[in-house]
Amino acid sequence: MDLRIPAFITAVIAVAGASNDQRIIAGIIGAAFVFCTFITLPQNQRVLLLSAAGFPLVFTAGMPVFTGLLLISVMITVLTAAGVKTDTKILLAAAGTGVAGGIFSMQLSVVLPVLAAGIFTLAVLYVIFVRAYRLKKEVEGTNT
Amino acid sequence: MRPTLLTGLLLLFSLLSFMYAWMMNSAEAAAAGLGLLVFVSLSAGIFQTNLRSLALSLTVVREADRTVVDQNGLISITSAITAVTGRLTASFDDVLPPGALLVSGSPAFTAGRASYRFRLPVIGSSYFQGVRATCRDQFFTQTLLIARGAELPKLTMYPTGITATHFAVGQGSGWSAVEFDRPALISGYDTRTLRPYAEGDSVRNIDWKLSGKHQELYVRLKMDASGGLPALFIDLPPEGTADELRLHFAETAVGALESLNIGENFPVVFFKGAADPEIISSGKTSVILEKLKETENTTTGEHLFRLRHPSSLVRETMITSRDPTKTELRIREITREYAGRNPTAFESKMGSISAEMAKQTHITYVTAALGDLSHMTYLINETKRHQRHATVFVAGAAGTPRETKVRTAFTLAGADVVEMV
Repeated sequence: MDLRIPAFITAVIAVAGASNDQRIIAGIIGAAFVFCTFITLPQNQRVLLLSAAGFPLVFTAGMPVFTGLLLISVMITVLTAAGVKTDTKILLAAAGTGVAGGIFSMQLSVVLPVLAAGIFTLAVLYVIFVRAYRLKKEVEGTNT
Repeated sequence: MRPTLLTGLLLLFSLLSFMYAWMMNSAEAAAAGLGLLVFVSLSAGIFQTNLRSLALSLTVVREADRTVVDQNGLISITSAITAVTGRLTASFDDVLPPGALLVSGSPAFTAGRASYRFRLPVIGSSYFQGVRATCRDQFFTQTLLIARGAELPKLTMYPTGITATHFAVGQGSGWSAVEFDRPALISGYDTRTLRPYAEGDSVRNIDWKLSGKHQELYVRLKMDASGGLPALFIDLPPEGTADELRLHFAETAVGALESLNIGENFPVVFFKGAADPEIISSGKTSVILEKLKETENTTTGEHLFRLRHPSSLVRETMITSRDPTKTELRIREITREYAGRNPTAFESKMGSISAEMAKQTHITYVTAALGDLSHMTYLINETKRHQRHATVFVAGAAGTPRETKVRTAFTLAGADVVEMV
């Protein structure tokens, strides 16, 4: 997928869904977000810049539905920039994150975001430690 | 598995988002932080999946010019590797069998191939430890030792024979006598001593009568009829060793001198770390006792430069769980460039001592075996290479947790007898 398409969609959603007092800042950050997709950059720097511009863009959303939509489009843009093939699993993960973000924005409970952040921190630690350890054991020979 | 700088920054963004959410009561910021965490966990999962595919697709084929060698024999290896790296950036290194000493070439794969030569001082069967793969993508990096299916070929080393070390019959008297071993003269060989069976020993050398009596296999160590003389090597303990241990060490050294009963004109060689060894005649008791009061004065890391390519240096420079620094890379480069080309000062000195001791065929070592053992294993190897008999007395290690480790190291180096005192 061309990186510029989700980036442009993200900027449009950001400006359309921004709360009234933050529409200008959403426009500026959105433009910067799109600009990052046009300039020539190494892949890791592009990912870093898109993350640095994209996720603060979510802060400007005025309504829960736009928070969710913004999260989905920012994640797809950054994942595309990182060279990840956007398949069904990735789309589902992005959609799940978007729905969760939308629910957070409704401010139903303080516990919910803390719980979700905790779960995903555990997921990162699981992959870094447990899966890495299992792989290490899997390739270990009888001679070591 | 370690995150790269980029992942670290993303996690920092996530933390900042949560802090902002907490301070400004912004639910959107919490959602953004969550988005970043999901992104990082997805990246970690993708990296692990790619790494697993790479590890399972890896195949290595090694061609050895020989698989059965004599003690310290040289083996030439040509390795070819294939692996599906996918989106990962990967580099591979062959990992030599435990105890092997790289002599020339490099075990790092370049364009899928690696050629190198090494010595194998370990008695019995040895296998390669595998292939070390260093993989990275934008978000994570990991160094993985892939051993499954990467251990062949099996290498076997048989120890060399042992020269005669005692005098049975002959002409003249005293230590200048020329003496011969009568049983050896008649049968071609005699039994020098017996020791427990170790993997790699010939089945023909097993003493079945003794083995039956002790319910454990014993092998006869043979000697020929050439005769030979003894020598004592004393490896002084390092600075800072407890007084009690030093006293025990000195007692062991004097005890070895007494029990060997080697007369007055045989060499007693003192080692003080990487410094030049000092040779003292066995008759000069007062000088020997004075030397025993000294300690090793090696500075930290100096042991690494005793040998041209000790396995400890390979371990310290090649096995690292993090990205190597410029200095480490430079050391690695120098190590590879000069591996096996020029003997170190220590090796040259040992070469000349070895040449002087052409008649000394029964070498006894006394050591405290504290810290680095590479020089001791090197000396024992040299002893075996010259077809001499090596007995090692280790002072202060009996009953301690390092006993097994020390015994294994010296036995693998080829010592015929290792006594914990």
